[in-house]
Amino acid sequence: MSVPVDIGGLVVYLKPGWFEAVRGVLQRWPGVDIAAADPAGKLVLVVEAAGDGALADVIERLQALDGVLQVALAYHHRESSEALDEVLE
Amino acid sequence: MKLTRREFIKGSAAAAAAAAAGLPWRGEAANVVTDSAYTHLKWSKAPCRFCGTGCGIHVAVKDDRVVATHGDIKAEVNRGLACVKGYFLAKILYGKDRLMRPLLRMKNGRYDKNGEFTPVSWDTAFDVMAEQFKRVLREKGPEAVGFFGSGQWTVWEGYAAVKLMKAGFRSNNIEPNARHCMASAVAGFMRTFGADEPMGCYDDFEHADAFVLWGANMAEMHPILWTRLTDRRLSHPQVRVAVLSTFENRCFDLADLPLVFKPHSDLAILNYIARYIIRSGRVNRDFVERHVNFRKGVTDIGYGLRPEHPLQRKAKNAGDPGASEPIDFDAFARFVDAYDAKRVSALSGLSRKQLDALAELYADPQVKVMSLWTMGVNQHTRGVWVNNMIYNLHLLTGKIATPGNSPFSLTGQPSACGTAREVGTFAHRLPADLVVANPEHRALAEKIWKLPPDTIPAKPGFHAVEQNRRLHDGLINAYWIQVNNNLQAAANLNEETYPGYRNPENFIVVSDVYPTVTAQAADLILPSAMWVEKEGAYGNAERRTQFWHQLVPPPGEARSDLWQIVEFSKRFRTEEVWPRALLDAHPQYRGKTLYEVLFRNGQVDRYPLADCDPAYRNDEAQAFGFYIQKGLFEEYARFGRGHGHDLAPFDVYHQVRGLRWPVVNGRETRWRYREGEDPYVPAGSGWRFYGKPDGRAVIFALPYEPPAEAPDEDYPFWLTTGRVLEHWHSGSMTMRVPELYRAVPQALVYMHPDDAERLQLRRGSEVRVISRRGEVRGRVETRGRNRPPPGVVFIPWFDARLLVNKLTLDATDPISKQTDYKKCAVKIVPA
Repeated sequence: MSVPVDIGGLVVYLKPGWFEAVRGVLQRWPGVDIAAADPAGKLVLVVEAAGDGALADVIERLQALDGVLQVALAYHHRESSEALDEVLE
Repeated sequence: MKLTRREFIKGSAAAAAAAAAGLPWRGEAANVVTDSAYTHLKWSKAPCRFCGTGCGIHVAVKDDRVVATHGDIKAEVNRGLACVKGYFLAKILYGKDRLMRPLLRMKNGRYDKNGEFTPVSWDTAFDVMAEQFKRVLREKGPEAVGFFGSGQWTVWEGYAAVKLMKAGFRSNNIEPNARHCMASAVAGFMRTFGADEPMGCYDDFEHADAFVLWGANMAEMHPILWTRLTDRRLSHPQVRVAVLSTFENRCFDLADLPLVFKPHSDLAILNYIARYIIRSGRVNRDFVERHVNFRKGVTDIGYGLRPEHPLQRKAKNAGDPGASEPIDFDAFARFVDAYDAKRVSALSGLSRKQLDALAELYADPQVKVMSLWTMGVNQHTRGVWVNNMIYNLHLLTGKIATPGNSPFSLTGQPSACGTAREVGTFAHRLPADLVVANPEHRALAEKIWKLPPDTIPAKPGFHAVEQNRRLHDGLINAYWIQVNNNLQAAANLNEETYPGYRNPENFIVVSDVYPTVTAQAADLILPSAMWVEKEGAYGNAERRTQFWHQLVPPPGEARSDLWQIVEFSKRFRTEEVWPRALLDAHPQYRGKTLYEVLFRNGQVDRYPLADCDPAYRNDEAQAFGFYIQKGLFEEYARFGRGHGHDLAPFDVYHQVRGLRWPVVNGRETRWRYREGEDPYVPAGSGWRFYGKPDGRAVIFALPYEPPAEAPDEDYPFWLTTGRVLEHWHSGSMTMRVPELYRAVPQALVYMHPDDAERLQLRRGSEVRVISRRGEVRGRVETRGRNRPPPGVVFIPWFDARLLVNKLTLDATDPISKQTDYKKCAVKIVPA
């Protein structure tokens, strides 16, 4: 059985003074890459999550994290894990 | 170097998100986010289908199915972002219980009010429906039929419905659910400025130095605008955010000035601020002298209840609640001077220090202020007053219609502005701020519609709450509901609304996409197409009109609301619905169908199929044989062009990411009423509030008056209702998205931990919440995102299993007729 994989591009807004702490926590989260960061209080994340609802769970966990003001989505893609392994060039 | 599809997609995700965040990102995939060669998808633009923000969404279609959505980076509103609901937009089309066929209550092969829902053809559905509407029109006349739509109608759907009702059936009984949502904002605008909708726009978010939320949980209800506000606050440390609410919500995370006030005391707080501005000598005298009039409104205006209700009988001015008389500045200053710190602190629960800090944001001439509000202000038995009183502050200080100085009324539905308000799908309105009570306005509408004089009745129809009462009393007997879940949304639904739907004298038709509570209480269910299953247009809260193409076919036999309205009109001949005198005077209309009179009038049917974009389907144009959306829009636009409501030509909107009206000579207007931005303001005048004949806006002297119902010994808690981020309104769409359902599966009873402890309840305990009108069961939540103070409970209304509107009181603002869903008294007992 192929597993659906969600790939999301997220923007996370942080409370003033929380940038280092939240970045530190997220660096240890599996499946989460920090693609860009603004110490004034913004993190751009790329999240890969396998299985129904897994990406929604990550968003919910982010929203509940101390120091996080808001989570917005900028990109979403869903495909099977095999299809994502295809070599393009 | 090898590149896998995974890496490519992740690069695209990073590029899109970084661009949306305004951050640099160096990656190879930056330009190929939507490259169809890699993704095999067709991408098109559409505005989001949920709230009034109007985010631009990129929609991906593969094999006639919507497979992905993301924020449109070219859309000025959201610049590539979307909220969690926007992210799951594709899934709202594909719930398992999507309605696919008309369903009629039948017994022994015939329509029967007590029968079971049985699939029928569209022909049978419309035959039975037309028979019922004709019966009611014949026996009781136009006042006994009604139509209830919403701010989710597309522009042309609302416009076609208005024509069918006001001209076709000659009944003004058409209302949108925006009556429950925006009516106080509309009446506030009309009273203060003489013209509806905000003067400012979303650009104000990037210019303001202070944001004041007067009863709007933007973090959950307008998340994308909240990110713009958050961005402004984080990148400009001098910016201040004041959040006023009757309980703590997610907005409080960002608040520099968190203000939890006692329900209904906003009236007093607003007068305190006016007093503070005057006493501290910070009135903008020049602005006030040139651009403002002062008036005093009548008081003791009742609560919009049934006339026999004791509170209505007691009220002195319930008959003409909107009346007012002219006063001068000194009289206004004396009026608000009675609202001193001691009195207002006692009423509101805020300290003098808190009140002064808030007032100083408005008073300080160096601070550009944006006031924001939605339901906390509008769903209020004095909602029009609160709207007027917020404008008072901006007018006293001249902080209006310039970048960052912006009293901004937010909206909850995608086209509350574009359809409900601009098209005028209300019982008293016509397009472009015209009203049926004005003979000149009716004459203009009749001329544009090519109809005989006196076709449109002069008497306003019945407003939403009154329609429910009339269904209950058997005075409205044929009723059509489209694009909303009126039963779940109606206050005091057990005593007023539900009995009306099941009244044996009444025939209720519900067009919807899912079997909502309302659909299940109907006699006939019509399956509707939704969002990108049809070509559409919405107008958002900043006057931005946005179009989209039909991207996929609707499922089964579902049809758009536009098709339903226009097709239904074919079943009526003028002599069945118009009085003989009208036809005797204008015999050329005799023998024609309403379809011919309203939609084949040489205008609506003017544009051929060849004008449609060949890259997209258009089911309605194909069905009627002409480009009906374009014909309806261009006819509608005639109402506003040259009158401050100018819309651009139809085809332009399919190219751009929306334009903010008035659009004059191809240029949109960001700030109305200000010279240099608004083409209707003459040179040398600075500002002109041209909705009023003398160009002056009105500052109103209005008092604090108590709410219709307040806690007492028997019912000791305030109940306030509202929404949550994950679910949109009644949840009929979002509860069918597994991820959103799982995130928030049920409505909770949010209360203070001390109240819970006193009642020997714990988090998760099941309780009965009881008002004088009904009771519901729910589980207690003492933590989480909403944190009421002692004495207040909050219950969201999205959950059809916990119908919180069994509890609410159908008290309305007497001027706007909008219901107050935020204040009634309840008791709580263990289940």
